[in-house]
Amino acid sequence: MQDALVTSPTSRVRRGQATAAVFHAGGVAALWFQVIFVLAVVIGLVVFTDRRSLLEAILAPESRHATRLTLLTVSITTALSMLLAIPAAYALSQRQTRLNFLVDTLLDLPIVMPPIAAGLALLILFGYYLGDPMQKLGIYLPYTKAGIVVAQFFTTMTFALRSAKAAFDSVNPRLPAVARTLGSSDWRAFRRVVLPLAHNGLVAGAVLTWARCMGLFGPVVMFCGATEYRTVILPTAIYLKNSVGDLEVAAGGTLFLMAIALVTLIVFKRLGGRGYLW
Amino acid sequence: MVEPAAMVSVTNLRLHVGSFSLHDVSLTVPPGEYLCIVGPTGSGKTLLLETIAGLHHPESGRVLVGGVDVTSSPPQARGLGYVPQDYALFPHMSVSDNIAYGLVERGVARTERLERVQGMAEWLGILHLLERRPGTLSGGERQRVALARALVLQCQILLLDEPFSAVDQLTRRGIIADLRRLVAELGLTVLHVTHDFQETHALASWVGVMHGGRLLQVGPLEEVFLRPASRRAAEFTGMANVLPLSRLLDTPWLRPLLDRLHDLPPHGDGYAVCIRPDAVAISRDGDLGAEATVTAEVSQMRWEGLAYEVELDAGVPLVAALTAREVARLGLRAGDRVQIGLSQDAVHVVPGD
Repeated sequence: MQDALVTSPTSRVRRGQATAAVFHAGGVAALWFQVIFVLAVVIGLVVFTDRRSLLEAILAPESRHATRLTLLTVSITTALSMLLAIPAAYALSQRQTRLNFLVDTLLDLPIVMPPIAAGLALLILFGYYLGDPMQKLGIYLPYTKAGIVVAQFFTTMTFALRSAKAAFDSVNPRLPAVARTLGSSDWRAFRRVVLPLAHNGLVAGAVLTWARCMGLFGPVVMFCGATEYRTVILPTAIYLKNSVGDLEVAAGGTLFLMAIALVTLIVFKRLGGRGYLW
Repeated sequence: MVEPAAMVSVTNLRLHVGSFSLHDVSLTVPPGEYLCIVGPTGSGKTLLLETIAGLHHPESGRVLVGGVDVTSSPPQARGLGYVPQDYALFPHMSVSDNIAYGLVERGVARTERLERVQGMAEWLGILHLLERRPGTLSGGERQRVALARALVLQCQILLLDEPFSAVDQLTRRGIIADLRRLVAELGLTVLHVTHDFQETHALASWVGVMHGGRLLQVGPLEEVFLRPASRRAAEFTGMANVLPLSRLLDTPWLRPLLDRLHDLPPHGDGYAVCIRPDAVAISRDGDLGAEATVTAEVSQMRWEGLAYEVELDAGVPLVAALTAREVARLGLRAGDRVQIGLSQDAVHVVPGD
């Protein structure tokens, strides 16, 4: 009776192998499901979009304006984000203080905040509270091109900061320390040692920030509206085309945006970028 | 005669960084001395070195270099050569640019820079590596490059943090020989942090023993190893026989010898006795000429690479260090009964911490 209850070593090994096989197969199946899902979405879009709609989405006057405005605002926002992210991320990477957790959490807020809510919050701050005083100084942000930059910056600055911090964290802190014992000031050690070593990561961060800005819709439409030839950027144009029933041209615009995103992603990966992407 | 000014001096240094700390550390290194700071992992020896290098600001205390107070000075103003444990070579620069790094910072002209880099590289036998990147070098090569980078600045004081931890035994011997030559020829003052006694014996003229952020003892090499100042220092420096004084006072054959010690405290509590294992004499025929003798049993024998450690039961457990030749001459085996002898100079009393 007792013998029947005790499993033999051979059957235990077999059961272990079977469990491992099921575990492995489960993982592979889940992975394939996701790959096929993404492929299906992309293929559906490519098949749906005809050449005429794609060209119209890219070449129509209002589309060309939206593309130009998108590229301009996104580039300014990326430059601005990186300009602030580099010193801020270096400070975060260098100093581990009790405030770090608080600062970290606060800076993550724009990422977890619903995009529409971010736009509304910006509208309240720059329209309701700061609208009049800023207008007296000749600055008004809501429903303007400058406002697009502000909305993009608010939502994506954390990506720039995270990527830059990851790049600085990957540099051995002993290197600038040794540079200082060899005669460098803090700034010289940063410029000659830290910056060249973090360079790829920083460029990758800029690319990621640029890509995030390209697809930003919610905060921009909430804070700046969607006026043709004024505040319409590529994602807004897609929304507008879709809302008037021009699905083909909307799909063309989407394909165009997706192509830009794909190129960005390849550049980001080639540079070995790290941050919120993985 | 005027005493030469200390090259490095720290007074009452106090600092906490994470789980590491320094508690009132005071230390003076005279010019031209080679000081090894030994201590177990986490004892604060690296923190001490980094504080002297200017990488941490002490909460209190002072750091003097060449008689000048540099406590508030940044690392670049201290004029110290520093080689960290991982060498910290700049991976994006060639070996040549690594060595020239400090010269560029000092505005040395390109021609002179190249000359000095080449001269230093030739001296350290790394001329053939100048165009290579640090990532392609072996541990020993990286170490020489790090030394060249620090020494090319002609600093008089060198700070070395466990410099041999990443090199094999054979390479280590070669670099130790080179380092000795460098130190002698350049007249360097060196502070070297390590937990390796072989390195310490091969290089140090002075030794400091650190434990729990405190400097337990500083002194000439032989004094620290042969006459450690406390029970903890004795245990860390590898003194094999550290026994409670109260127990030895109750051991009849040792009592007369202990009574003759001039520093014997009135009672044994809180004190320990250090007995150098190399000074425990062993004989088969009893003719030892020692001040205290007794018959003991060999309980165990271990080969420790350079000598045998012979464990003896002599009423108290004792360890003797014997060469292989002596062991062969005496024909010693575990279980043998032999005569052992101790002289007064082999024994000293220390506070028990």
